[in-house]
Amino acid sequence: MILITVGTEKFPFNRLMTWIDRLIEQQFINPNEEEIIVQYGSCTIQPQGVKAYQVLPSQDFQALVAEARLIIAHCGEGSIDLLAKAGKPYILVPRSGQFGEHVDDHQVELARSLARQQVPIAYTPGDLVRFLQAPVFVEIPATPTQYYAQASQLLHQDLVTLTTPKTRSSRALLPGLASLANIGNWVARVPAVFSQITA
Amino acid sequence: MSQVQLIEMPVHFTLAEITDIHGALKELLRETVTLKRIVFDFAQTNFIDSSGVVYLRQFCQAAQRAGIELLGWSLSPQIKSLLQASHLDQWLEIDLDTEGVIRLQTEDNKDLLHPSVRSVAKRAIDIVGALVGLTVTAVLFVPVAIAIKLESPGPVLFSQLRCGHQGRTFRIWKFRSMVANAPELKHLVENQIKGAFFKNENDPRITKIGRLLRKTSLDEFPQFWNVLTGDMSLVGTRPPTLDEVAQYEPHQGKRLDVKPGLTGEWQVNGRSQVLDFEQVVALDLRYQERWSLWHDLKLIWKTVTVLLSKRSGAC
Repeated sequence: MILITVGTEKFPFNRLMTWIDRLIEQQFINPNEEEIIVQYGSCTIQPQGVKAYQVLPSQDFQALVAEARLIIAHCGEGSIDLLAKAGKPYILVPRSGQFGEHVDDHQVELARSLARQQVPIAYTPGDLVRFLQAPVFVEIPATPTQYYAQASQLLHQDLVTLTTPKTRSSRALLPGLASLANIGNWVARVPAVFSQITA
Repeated sequence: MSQVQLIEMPVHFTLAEITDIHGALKELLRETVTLKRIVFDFAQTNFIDSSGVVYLRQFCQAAQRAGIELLGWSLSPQIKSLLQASHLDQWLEIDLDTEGVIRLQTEDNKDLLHPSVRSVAKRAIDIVGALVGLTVTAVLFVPVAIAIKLESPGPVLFSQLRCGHQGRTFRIWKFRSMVANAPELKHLVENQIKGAFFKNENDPRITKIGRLLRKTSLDEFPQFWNVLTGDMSLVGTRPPTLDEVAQYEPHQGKRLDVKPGLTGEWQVNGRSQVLDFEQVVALDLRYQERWSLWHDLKLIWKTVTVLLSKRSGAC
């Protein structure tokens, strides 16, 4: 059984649905030979010949993950946390802000940092085909939730050190404003902090 | 062997990559029993040179003979327009639904084009030259048209599909110098040139006025229109017919890395003495190596003097 999941975002991920449909059309996967289960969330189209569920209760979902031969999932935190523990081949397809699949490109950025740890990522339908021909399981040392937590801790430390007045400067008089002014810097540092943790 | 095979195309598809991929593709064409379709994954491809287009064209035709369908996935806008302009999409079906992909390689590939194609100055010279040439053509048009019409029935102008820069097809215009049904009679005429190139010194399809037009090169004057529209340049490579390109070796496709020209290296180097296609290719590649604006201007000047002298090489 192959499980395809796009999570519960309110944005559709029709691009992935179309790719799965093409994979079936070209018989790279065949629902007549192997069951294909799709959790389609907010998608407005579904691939041909699959078993489709809009959302799956957490228990059912975990049971399907346990049963699946391999999993194709969107690059969302929750899915990755679950798949990292599942111990079977999975490939992640990042939602993209440019195609209106999420608010921004954070899934693409996450995908890039995971790709550096050899996690299979599909940016194109061809990537999915190549993964299906040779599925691999890659263990990730830290799942997104863990390193988001670490990142926010680091950021918090940054905040503390940045807003601690070293001398009586004009900035120290208005610590609140100063921290607001620095927010841009902290946000810019997020990717750097991530790579520190995930390295 | 499954019914559908996916082939991942390289970032650049040029002569070097053709050599890498050709073995695998040749094997696939032998699998006619099980293989139904080949999917070309163009997701990473951002540049195909003229050799690549020539090679793909031949592969498409071979696949068609073998009864294998071809499909193109995840084409970038540039690659899609190239495949459409070179009419490759009549064999290789482009799947528009697989286009939306996140591209990791977003390099600018303009510097992979031959400098003559990128040159704004060359284009400016072309436009000025085309306007001058079209003025001359307009003056000549009425007498030439009457002469053509008087001798044989049919249109004044002759047009044909030719291969241009990077294998893009375009319609070339000339004054008609042969009988109207010349293309249908071509198989009756012997080719006197070795290779992918057709020439016959005493082609019986040429009309009397046609012989005069060819001798003076006046038959070529409507091509100033092709220069103006940008399909051709004043100086470049000889624009081959689609039949000729179908017989090219990939390395011979390199001559299409520049725009086809009204004149060029081999037109001013004794047009009738050249009797071997490899020599034509060698001259074309020499032009690409030597190209500069100054070199172009010298060739234009040489062409004018050749035209005006009696020793015009055209027959």
